[in-house]
Amino acid sequence: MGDTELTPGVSILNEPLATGSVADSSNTRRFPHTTFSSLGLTHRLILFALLFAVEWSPITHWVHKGRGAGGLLEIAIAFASLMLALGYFRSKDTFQRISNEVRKTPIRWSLLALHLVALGAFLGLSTISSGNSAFGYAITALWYVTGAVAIVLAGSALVPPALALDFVRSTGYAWVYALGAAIIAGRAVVTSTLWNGAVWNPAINLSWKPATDLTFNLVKGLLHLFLSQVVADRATMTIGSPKFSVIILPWCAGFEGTALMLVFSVAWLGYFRREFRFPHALLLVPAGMVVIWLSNAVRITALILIGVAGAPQVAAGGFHSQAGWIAFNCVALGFAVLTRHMPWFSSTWSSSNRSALQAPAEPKTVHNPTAAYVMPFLAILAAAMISRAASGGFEWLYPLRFFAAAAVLWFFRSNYRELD
Amino acid sequence: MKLLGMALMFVAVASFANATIAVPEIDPGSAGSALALFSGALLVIRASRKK
Repeated sequence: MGDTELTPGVSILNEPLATGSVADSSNTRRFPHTTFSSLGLTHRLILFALLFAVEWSPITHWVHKGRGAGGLLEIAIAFASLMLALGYFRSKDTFQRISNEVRKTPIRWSLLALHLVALGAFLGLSTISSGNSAFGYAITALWYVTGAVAIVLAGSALVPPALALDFVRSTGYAWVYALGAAIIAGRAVVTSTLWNGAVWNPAINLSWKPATDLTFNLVKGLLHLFLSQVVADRATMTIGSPKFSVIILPWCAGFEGTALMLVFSVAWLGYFRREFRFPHALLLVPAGMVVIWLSNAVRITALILIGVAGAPQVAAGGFHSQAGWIAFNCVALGFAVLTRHMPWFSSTWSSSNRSALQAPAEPKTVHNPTAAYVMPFLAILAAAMISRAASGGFEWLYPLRFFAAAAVLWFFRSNYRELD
Repeated sequence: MKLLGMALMFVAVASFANATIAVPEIDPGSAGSALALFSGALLVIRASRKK
């Protein structure tokens, strides 16, 4: 079997070898009433990102890939993110003032409707093949224009252009730094020469070799704990047993999860910086990255063991596609929960613990209305991930979603009784 | 908050429309539902923290 065509990542060589107590009624009304028109700048930016994700996910396969817009879009996203970060830290007062003004401005639905029209035109033009003729160039130019107009219209519907310009003006020359950094980052991701003269390309290059070797060794060590006979060919990065083996490709060496963990841990520590002791807490970033790296090795080991146990389709199918996300969710959520209980890292743990010790014993009741509202949905999502991970084609565990949701609804039944 | 919760749900639902078969370490086809699950769980954790 080809090592990248069907399942890039870990390729199958041969498939054969190829809290729930009662909350009082006031809890259900504790959230402030939020409407579209009362959303501030941050919420509208999040909405913009979500809108982008919702629209982009289904159409990504139809969008023309040969016109070079992907690189420009990456630069644009990096630029916008850097601009927002620089603008916020340079002048928080201005950010707050603009956010308040945005809150008073209603979302312009007419522009959102026009955005959909432009998006439709963009998709339509994606289907037209463009060559080196004048017609082809015109189609390509029109395609770029409709794409840019669709993005601008969606942004203008949520944040008035005048306020956006006001924000940019308030940041001075930050846009120059942001643009420069975004272009450099965009180019660096595509190609950059390493110390050994090789050109670094994240998707295909052998510059990942040391990292892949490390993962290979880890998986080999773990497999020896479970299998009496381990097949391990470092030259081809093939590992497994005579019955079932896989190739560890560069992009499944653990970098994706590690990069996600880096972004999450830095964002978490930055956002909740008052709850952590610095510089101690900075150690949590590499610690989290090491844990997610190890979890990737465990993922590959588990995948091989599932294949060896007689379920190669499950290993190559559902488990292969879901285990990475399951591992990331477990590690990142563990990071969020555990780090606040570590006195050496947490600045709030010791004080809250002290006050708890000094306070007279009270009956312990848990009021978490958020959990009551959100958990049924989360249970369905989690059950879906588990169900998919355990399937090699048809999802035999599909009903798990129903039972998971039913169990959570039963658990929070007391909270729901309080609802009108 | 309710609005963002609804938006989160739409993202999760939209991910089902993105049917891909090729999967590296982190499957982009499952990103929507996985991130929605992750964000929702963080919401619950933070909400319990405030009590």
